[in-house]
Amino acid sequence: MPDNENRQKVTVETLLRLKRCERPSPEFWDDFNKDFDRRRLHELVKRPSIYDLLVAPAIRVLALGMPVAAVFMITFLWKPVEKSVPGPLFIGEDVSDVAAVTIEMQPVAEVMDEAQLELASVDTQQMSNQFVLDALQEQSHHAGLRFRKVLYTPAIRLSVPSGAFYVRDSMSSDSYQVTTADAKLGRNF
Amino acid sequence: MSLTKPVDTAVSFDAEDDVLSAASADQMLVERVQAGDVAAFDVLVKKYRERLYGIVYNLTSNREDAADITQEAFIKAFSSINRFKGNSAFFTWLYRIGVNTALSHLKRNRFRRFFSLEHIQDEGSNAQVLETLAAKHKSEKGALLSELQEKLNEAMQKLSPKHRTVVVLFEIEGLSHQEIADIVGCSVGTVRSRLHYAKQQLQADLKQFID
Repeated sequence: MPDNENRQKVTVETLLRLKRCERPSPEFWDDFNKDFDRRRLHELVKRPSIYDLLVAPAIRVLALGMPVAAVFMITFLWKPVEKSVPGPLFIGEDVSDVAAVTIEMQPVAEVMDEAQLELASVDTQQMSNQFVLDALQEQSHHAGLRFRKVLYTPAIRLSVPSGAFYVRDSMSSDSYQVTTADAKLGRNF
Repeated sequence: MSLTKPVDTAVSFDAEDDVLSAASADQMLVERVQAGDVAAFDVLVKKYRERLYGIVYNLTSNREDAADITQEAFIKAFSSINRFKGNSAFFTWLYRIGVNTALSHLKRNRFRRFFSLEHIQDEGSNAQVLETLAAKHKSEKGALLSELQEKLNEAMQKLSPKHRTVVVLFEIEGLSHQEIADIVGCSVGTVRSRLHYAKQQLQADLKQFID
C-alpha cells in the first residue's frame, strides 16, 4: 500500500512530458550548424530567378486584382434584367390570323396523313428549320441592343422551304431583316 | 502563508522581467540583423534551434525531416527578417514560420511517413514515471521505454496536424494558450477546444499506459 501511494499517477500529460526528453545528441547540432551555414550562404548569393522577378509578382497582382475586378464588375456593370414590356410594334400588330392558323382543329388522323405526304416531298435536312410565324414579340433595351422574343410554330403546311433561313434567332439588334418566312406571311416588323 | 505571497509575487515579477528582457534582447538582435549584421542571426539560431527543432520533431516524428524543416524555417526567417516589425515576440513569429513550414511538409508528404525517433533521455521525473509503468506492466524498463515511445508517437500521428500542433505547443513546449493562439492564428477558445479533443483521443489511444 505505501508503495502504491508513492507511485506517480500516469496521465496523458505525464506521458506527453516524456516526449520533452526525446532530444538529439550534441553532435547533431554540429552537423545542423554546418548545414544551416551552407544553406544560408546559398540563400545570400542566390540570384533572383525569372520566377521571383516576373511570375511571382504577376501571380500576386492577379490574386489581388481578380477579386477586386469581380467586385467592380458586379457593382458597376451588372444590371438586373428588366421586366420586358410589349413594344410599339406589337401593339399595332394584328395576330388574330396567326392565332387562328395555330389553333386550327383538325382530326388527328387527317393531319398525320397530310404531314407524312408533305414530308415525303421535302428534303429532311431542312425539316428541322421549318418554324415560322411570330406569335408574340416583346422587347427591352439594354446597352443599345434590342431584344425580341418570338414564338414560332411549324411552317410545314405553309410552303416547302427553299434554303432560306426560316428560323430566326430570338435575339436580334435594331437592324432587323425581314425573312422569306415573314414575307410569305405578309409580316413586316 | 504571509511569507509565501510576497515570495510568489516576487517570483512572478522576476519571470515577467525575464520574459520582457528576453523579448527586448531578441528585438535588439533582430534590429542588428535588419541592419545587415548576419552574425547576430547566429545568436538567435543558437538560442531557438533546440526548441524549434523540438516542435517540428514532435509534429513530424522524424528527426531528419525535423532537422531539414528547422533549417528551412530559419532560412525563411532570415530572408524575411526585414518584414518583422516587432508587433509580436520574435519567438512567436519564428515558431509560426516553423509550424507552417512543418504543416506544409506534412501536407505534401501525407502518404509518405515513417518514424525516425530520437533517444529518450532517461532523467529525473521521467525515470519515476518509467518505474511506475514498469512496475505496473511487470516489464523491463528499457523494453517498456521503446514500446511507450512508439505508441506515443503513433498516437500523436493519429491526430490531425491542427490538433497535434496544439498538443505539442501546450503539453510538450509549455506555451500558454494565448501564445499558441498567436502562433497558430486562431482564437484562445479554439486552442482550448482542440486541446480538449486531442487529449480525449490520446487518452483512448494510450489507455493501456494510463491509470
